[in-house]
Amino acid sequence: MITAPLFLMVLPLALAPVVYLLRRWALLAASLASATALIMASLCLGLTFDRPASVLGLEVVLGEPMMVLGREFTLELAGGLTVGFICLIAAIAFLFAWRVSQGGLFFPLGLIILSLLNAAVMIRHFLFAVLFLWIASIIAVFVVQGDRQGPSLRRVSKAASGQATGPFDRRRPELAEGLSTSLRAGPGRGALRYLVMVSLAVPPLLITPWLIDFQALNPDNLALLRYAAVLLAIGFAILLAVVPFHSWVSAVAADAPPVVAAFVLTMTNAVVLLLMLELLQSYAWLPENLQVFRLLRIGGLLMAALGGLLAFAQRDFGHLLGYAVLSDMGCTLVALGVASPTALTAALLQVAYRSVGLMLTAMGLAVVHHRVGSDSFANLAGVARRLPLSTAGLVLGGLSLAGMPLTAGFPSRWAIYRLLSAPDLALVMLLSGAGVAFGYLRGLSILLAPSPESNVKREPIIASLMILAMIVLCLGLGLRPQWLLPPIQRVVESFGFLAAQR
Amino acid sequence: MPTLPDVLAKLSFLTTTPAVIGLVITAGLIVVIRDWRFSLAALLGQYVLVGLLLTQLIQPQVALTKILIGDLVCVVLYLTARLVSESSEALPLQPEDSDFPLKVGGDRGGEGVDGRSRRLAPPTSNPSTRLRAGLQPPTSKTGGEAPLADFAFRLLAALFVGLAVYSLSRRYPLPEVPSDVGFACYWLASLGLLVLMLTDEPLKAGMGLLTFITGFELFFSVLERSLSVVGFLGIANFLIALAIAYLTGVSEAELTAGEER
Repeated sequence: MITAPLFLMVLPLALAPVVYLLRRWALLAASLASATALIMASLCLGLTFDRPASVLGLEVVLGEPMMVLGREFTLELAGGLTVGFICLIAAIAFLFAWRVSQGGLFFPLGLIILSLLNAAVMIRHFLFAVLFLWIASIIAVFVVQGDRQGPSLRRVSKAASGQATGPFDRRRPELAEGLSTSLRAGPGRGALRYLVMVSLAVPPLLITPWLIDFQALNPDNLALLRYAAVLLAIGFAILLAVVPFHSWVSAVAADAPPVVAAFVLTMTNAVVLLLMLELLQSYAWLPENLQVFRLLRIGGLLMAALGGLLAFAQRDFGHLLGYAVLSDMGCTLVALGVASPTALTAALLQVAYRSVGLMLTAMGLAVVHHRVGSDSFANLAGVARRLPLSTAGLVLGGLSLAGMPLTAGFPSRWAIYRLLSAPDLALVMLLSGAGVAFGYLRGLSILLAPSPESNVKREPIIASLMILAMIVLCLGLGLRPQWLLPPIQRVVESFGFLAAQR
Repeated sequence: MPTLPDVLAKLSFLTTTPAVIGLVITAGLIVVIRDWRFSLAALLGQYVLVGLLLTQLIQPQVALTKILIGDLVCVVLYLTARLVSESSEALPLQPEDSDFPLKVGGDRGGEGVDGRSRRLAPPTSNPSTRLRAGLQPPTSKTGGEAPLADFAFRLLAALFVGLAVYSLSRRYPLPEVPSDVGFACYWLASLGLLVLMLTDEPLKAGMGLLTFITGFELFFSVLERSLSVVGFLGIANFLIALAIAYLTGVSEAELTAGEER
């Protein structure tokens, strides 16, 4: 019999070297990585805390804590669902990367990142959770950078130099603009910016526990708590990409392979939000300070407004994806800032539904990028005729991020609009979504535009089937949003600090 | 054979004030000098000086571990920079000035270790390649003025930050550490941030990031003495060095591909 924390940390870590050795056989590596993530997801989403679950012939106890070097690891309800959620996203990403490569290191390093994020969720000490998150983010830099000398980049490079390369042969004039757009982020700039921003966020978060402990020894010194709150605000603002610390999101989205960008943005965001909620739950003085929730509302509003505004003006799908995510993350923060159980439910629903829209648009973009070699609007005229499902996934996922009706992103957004007491706030959020939607519709009009004969190859069948499945899921969740409601409501009930707010 | 306490006793003249002055110089060099060799030597000196300062504040064995981690970080960065530099030098040199100087060493725009600009030929006319190289548009047709102006700007920026750090460390002294160590923490963190603001080249930005983290660690090591935290911070430092090396290598590979085009 083994404890769940041990299983969830050691299994992906142990399989990472095996997957690395198998990386040349994409099917094997993807299957192994995906199966590992899926097993962990099914274990956590089953949530059988009261009795051991049988996995791979091992009896795994979910509720049993584990001690390592005097630190306690334990899996509780919110943590269990978060781990299950990120493992599920990872499983989908790994499987998709089998057909549309996202870089040779994605499978092994993805498993290591998964292991570290699981550890960050399960450890009962905030300082170590931040350290695990930091190390996971540093490792993510390697996958964000990806295989930049890979086939698609080489194809773009050759096209720019005048060598014949498939779809670009008849489009040399447009390519110059497309190439400069695709290189706007510069070599490794997204990865570097991500590394720098995450590393800048860590010191304030690491100092906070000491300040809080020190204040406990000096209860009269309330200034220490004020400093702690300011440091927490800075650290979380950077990690959650609150304006003006937002630039890394669009840089990562534009620079990383699309599915890797979705993987990193979804998983780290979910873990950071969980850490923030657990902190609010652990320290009663934090939720008692109404400025905390005001800051969340203002930060979220700025993110949503800026994301929507900039998404409106983008000329490539990479940056558009980044600003769409920024806008959506802003809505989540605004919902958290409302500080009520209903708003927290809406916020957590949005995190879950955002992952569907984000993964769907990333999958579509990955196929387009793989086949055309660029994500710039200037190079994508008429591509929809050759890549219909990818185009549908790309645009539908984007519309879901914008919160358009009938998509997965709509129900939670609608709930958030209704929860906002000030109509002006709801209007800003609505306009933000409209900006994102307009950006994707503009992209769609170019994808559908008539074009000369195209040499773009048809989309890969298995990748198309996966996109189709995600489209069905996205529309299904838009029509039946209550499907995910029961587990999320249980998580919300476990956070008592909001009840105290009332 | 001298033991660790013997070595530390011999180096005791370097602790506190001389070490803080040394840190002011090393971090200043990382900001002002663009050549990677000098910057890396300054970073190495910085790790040693921080380690020596820490011997007065925490267990000497832990401080020594931090110096060793710093050495490893510098070795990783040195090997990377050396490889990148050699691959740049392998391209033919062009003696006369050109509009877009690609100098060997530094952040692709620095001077060689001998102080002379070494320019790669052919100067690229492809705007995309220039953009990717992180090169600035031509500002001066006369070879020496631009580097001098750059040097003066960096020096001035470092001096301004120094003034801000001085007033900050007096107004908000860091708890649990002596005032001069507190000043060193502020100085390292601020100059690390300044480097990050002044460059977007992975190697140089990486040195800035490591300087920032070193400043933070100098303070945090006194607050949190758990060995597991020391281990985690060491792993993080080493992984950051590897990430910087990886990004530098990829950046160079792309630039080379751009030049070949």
